[in-house]
Amino acid sequence: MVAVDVDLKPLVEQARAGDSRAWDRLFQRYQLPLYTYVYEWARDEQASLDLVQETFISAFRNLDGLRDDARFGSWLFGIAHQKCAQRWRRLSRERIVAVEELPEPPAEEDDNPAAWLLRREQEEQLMSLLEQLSPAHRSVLMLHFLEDFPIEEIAAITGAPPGTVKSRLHHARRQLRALLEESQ
Amino acid sequence: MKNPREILLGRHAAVGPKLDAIRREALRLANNPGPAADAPRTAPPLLVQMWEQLVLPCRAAWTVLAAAWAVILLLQVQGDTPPASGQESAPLTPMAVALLQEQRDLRAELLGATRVRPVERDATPKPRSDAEPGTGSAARRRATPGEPESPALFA
Repeated sequence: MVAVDVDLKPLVEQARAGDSRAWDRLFQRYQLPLYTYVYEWARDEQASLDLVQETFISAFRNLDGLRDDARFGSWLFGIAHQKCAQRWRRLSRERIVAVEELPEPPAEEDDNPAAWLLRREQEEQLMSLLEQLSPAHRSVLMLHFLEDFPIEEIAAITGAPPGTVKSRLHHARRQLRALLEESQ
Repeated sequence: MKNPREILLGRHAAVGPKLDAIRREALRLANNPGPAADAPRTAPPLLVQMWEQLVLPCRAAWTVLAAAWAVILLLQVQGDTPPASGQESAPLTPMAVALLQEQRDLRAELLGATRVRPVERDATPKPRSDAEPGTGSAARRRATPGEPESPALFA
């Protein structure tokens, strides 16, 4: 797992003081992981962009709600998670099931077609395996993969008890491994 | 070999420019929420405050009360409505006039017979002997111990 966290506390402190550049750097750091996580819920590019933007605005206006500056990332993901859940509930009420095809991945410039194919195969395999997990398991696993959040922070993001998160993560990993072995 | 994070992020790398744009837009919106939000909010007038604090919280009760009053007023207006103009302007037939006159006479006769006549009081005082025994001062004087009672008392 790649270490993704740098010390964000000084940036958060500057953001608290109203420094727009600090906000910009914080948002820049999290925009792609947030979008990736949100996309797993929304399955729609424009909706995911809107959700990320709403998350940024909400974070900007409610920074007082963040108690521990070191947990800025999980706090931001928590806001996004709530917005995704709200949207999902609204769509469920409206009985709109938005099942759309995944967008085409970006065209890669690679001189080695074999490496490109191998990489594409790995990506497709991982994504197809993730698709087979339940939403709760996929959500926990995504947060673990994307930001390597600890159990407590994933629990704070998803609103589930830490014990439940630990169990879900364990089962999701085991299921993913089993699916991987089946596919090979 | 890519790790899962790189695979997941790499799948959405194409939206990077769009994410940059919405990040800038979000910061712009957050910094400038608009003139309406910046403008100082003045207190609403007293009537508006009363409306908001007295009427709006229990609007259902006020609606029921208003409906009840509307029904009461409607019933009252219907009760006060004069008879239709056709009925009012219809001329009375001679027979009806005679019947009405007869009823009027009968009513006057009945009222005259049962009327309580006022008691006619005689202005001149009665003789003292006509007074009821035992009520006058003479009787009180006679009722002294040792004297025989008046024969009228034993009658």
